[in-house]
Amino acid sequence: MRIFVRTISLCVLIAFLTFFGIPENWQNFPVTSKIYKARATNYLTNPSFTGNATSWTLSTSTYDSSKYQDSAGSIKTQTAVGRNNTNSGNASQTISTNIGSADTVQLSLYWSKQCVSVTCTTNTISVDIAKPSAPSTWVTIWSDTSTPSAGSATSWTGPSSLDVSSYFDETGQYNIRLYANLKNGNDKNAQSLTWFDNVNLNVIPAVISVSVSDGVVSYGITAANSTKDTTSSSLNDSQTATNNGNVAENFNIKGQNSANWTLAGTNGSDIYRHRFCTLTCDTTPTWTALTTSYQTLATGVATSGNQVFDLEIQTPNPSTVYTQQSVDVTVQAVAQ
Amino acid sequence: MMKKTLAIITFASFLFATSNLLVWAADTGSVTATVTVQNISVSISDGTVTYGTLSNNATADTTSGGLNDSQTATNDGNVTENFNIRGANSASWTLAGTNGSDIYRHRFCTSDCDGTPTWNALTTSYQTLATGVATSGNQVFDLEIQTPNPSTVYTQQSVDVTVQAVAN
Repeated sequence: MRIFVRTISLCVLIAFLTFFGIPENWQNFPVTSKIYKARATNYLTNPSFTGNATSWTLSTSTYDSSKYQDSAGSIKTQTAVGRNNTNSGNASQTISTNIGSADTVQLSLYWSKQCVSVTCTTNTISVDIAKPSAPSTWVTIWSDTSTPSAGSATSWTGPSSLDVSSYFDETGQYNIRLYANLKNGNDKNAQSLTWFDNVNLNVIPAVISVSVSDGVVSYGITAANSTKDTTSSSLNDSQTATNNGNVAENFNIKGQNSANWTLAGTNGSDIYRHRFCTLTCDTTPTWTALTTSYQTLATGVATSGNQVFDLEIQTPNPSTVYTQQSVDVTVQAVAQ
Repeated sequence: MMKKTLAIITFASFLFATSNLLVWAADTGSVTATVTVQNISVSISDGTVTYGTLSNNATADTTSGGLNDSQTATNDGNVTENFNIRGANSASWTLAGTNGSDIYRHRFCTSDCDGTPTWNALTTSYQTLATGVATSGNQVFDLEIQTPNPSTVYTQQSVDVTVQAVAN
């Protein structure tokens, strides 16, 4: 019985951790589960420098166990004490999980700066990324150029859930670095320092999903070389493609050959035509012939947005078969 | 038993926990569309009437009291149909409502033909034989001929009858 209870508890714990992640005691970023089907996940390893800087490659910058936003350590970059001294440093890592170009990416971090004796000449910090196609080229996705007045270190502050998705326009493995560029003021006791802590790169994987409602068109029995459509004056059965994903989508559409008919732009013997319309279809429709390859139905359809469309069929002239034909239409959704 | 239960619970927990992590790069929806081309088709069974050799101004018919060879028109299409019927002039005779010299009469009947038939004279134009005949439905009919009075020819004449089907 004890084993049974322990196993149940373990299962519940696994499910909890999978859904909600390992609890982070410094900050929680709520995920609006009503909108997103996929949960945000921090893709950085050792984001809070708890006890060490493992998984980060340090260049000039160092691990500082004595200063932190909430607990145990941060990344520090500093200059040597002295008039107009400079230094730049960084902590970098290769993000182990690929990021998709359609993913939603949010940056959160804390920083602190200090200018000793006099205001720093330069105390610029940034978060940079290197894209999969150019792993040595750094692109700044966030920066702060403020130079605090001389005195003690500033309070911890920083961006929270800053949407940086637009910078992640490739799919693949990214590098990230926490960069600091420092220059002392013109004073013999001057020193410039900066710290990073709790750097989170939360990624919400793109969910691409589309549904078509009602998804059924029954043209019924119609004469050869005749047309029938879904507009209000005919079957009155317009179709609605809805973006059920969490990113803007493009919709594509294609038709198909049936068992006995070939789909083409002009009907003929055992050749049928199938067309779609998206604009003023009930009044002055513009019909576009379907093919067996995808073509654009709609672009930039927002989450929960939709595209209404109509279909029109023209039967073969003549048809050598009189059995029911499946002339299905497929709508494909891809990330915008 | 306990081990099996634990295994099932563990597996179910895993599926439940990972189900929300699925991510799609593309997705498709579909419109299931169907269409059938209208087929208008009729057949006549047995399709042959042999009146044989008749004297001038004589009648013969396909009812049970005559040749007993009623004809059946069947809707072989996939929609409800109307049937029309017409006769034809033969090589030497003209079709008309009243017979005469080298003029013959040809009539059809669709109701109570073996009892108290109502005969309608065929013409060379279509007239209604039946309406609203469902798919696989049929219309039985009889034919009656009256030979010319007199006929100036004594060769076999083809006095064919045509049944047309149109969509109801």
